[in-house]
Amino acid sequence: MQELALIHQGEILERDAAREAERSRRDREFEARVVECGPLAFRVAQGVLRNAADAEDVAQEALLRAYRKFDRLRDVTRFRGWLVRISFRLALDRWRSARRRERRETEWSLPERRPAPPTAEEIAVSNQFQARLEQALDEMPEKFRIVLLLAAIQGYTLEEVAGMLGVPTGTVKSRLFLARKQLAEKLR
Amino acid sequence: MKCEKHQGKILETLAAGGVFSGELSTHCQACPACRSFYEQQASLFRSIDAGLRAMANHEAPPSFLPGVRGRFAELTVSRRAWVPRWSFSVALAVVVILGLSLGYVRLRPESRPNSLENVAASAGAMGNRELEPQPLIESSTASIRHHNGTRSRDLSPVPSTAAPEVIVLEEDRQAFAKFVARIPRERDVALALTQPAPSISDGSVEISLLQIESVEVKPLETALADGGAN
Repeated sequence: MQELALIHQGEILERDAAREAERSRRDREFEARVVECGPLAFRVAQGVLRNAADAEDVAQEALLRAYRKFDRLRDVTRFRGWLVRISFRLALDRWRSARRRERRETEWSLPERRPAPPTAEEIAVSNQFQARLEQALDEMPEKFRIVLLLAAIQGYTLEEVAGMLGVPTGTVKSRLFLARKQLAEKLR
Repeated sequence: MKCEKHQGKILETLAAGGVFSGELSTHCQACPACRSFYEQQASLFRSIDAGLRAMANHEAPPSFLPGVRGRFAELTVSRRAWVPRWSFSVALAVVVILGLSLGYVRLRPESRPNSLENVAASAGAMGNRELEPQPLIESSTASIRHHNGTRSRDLSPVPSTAAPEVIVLEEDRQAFAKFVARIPRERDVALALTQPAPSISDGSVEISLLQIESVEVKPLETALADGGAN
């Protein structure tokens, strides 16, 4: 009976050790993915939010979410696309809520408290085209927006963008074509 | 018309990021309007591409990866510590539920043993002083306590602050006091008041016509006097 108990305890210890080893292996693997794909998540968030602090926060949140569900990801090679989509979605949510807040504050603020409109000189000094481009991008449908952002990130081919989004390369090309055409029309 | 068609093609080729066909290239070289259009549009698309690249290629700040690792460390610690937190929450919930249920049992009206006596006393106080209820007989109160059902709950006194004010005629008040004073003495009345109503069965009911052979009309005061004598 005592032997049986000892054998049983040994089994439990072995199982715990195996579980611990599996967990640390998974953590190491995830750490490697973070180093590889973390900056991409940041860039996607930055492309939507255009604010480094917010983008950093969103990208970290996206990585945490990915970590929590890392076990469910069967094909680890799809991690990058998965993370990009989480990051984009979170960034969009934050961007929308920021815009709503901004609108509310503008509506409620008294006229004298509102910031003064930019002067002609300020407009001339600021990069007007970039501002218009950002506004035009904000007005684009989500599927065009993410394709434009991912295609503009250096180091990724259209095939890789298609892989990240889980759509055929032809779809990425046609979306990119339509998005660029729409942007040009808006900025002309 | 020909230029319009070519300008449309120029736009599409630039948007697709493709190369001009031989015919389009030849036309642009020959037609100054289309060449100018091409230069304008090519410049616009170059600006768009440059703007998008500037937007999408920000370097992650140096604090980014250490920040991620810090948040992972927090997450791992909180995951490992989930069992004690969970058990603490459950223990707290059990204590709160037990406390609430005990408080409810204590505050329930039927848990007060003297409800019927209270009714009698309050009714007596409401009515004539002479009609104050007699002290309850022990045997009858015992049976009343035993059958403490739904009706006794209805008779329990309600705090005057919560109850709406009802105007009752003096004679009604006296009659009620008299009735309540009789409750401890008459076991049938007490039982009828305190026993729960019998459950209604779904069986068939026979209805027959009521047959009254003779009707005797008496003045109300006489009837009350007779009842009081009994």
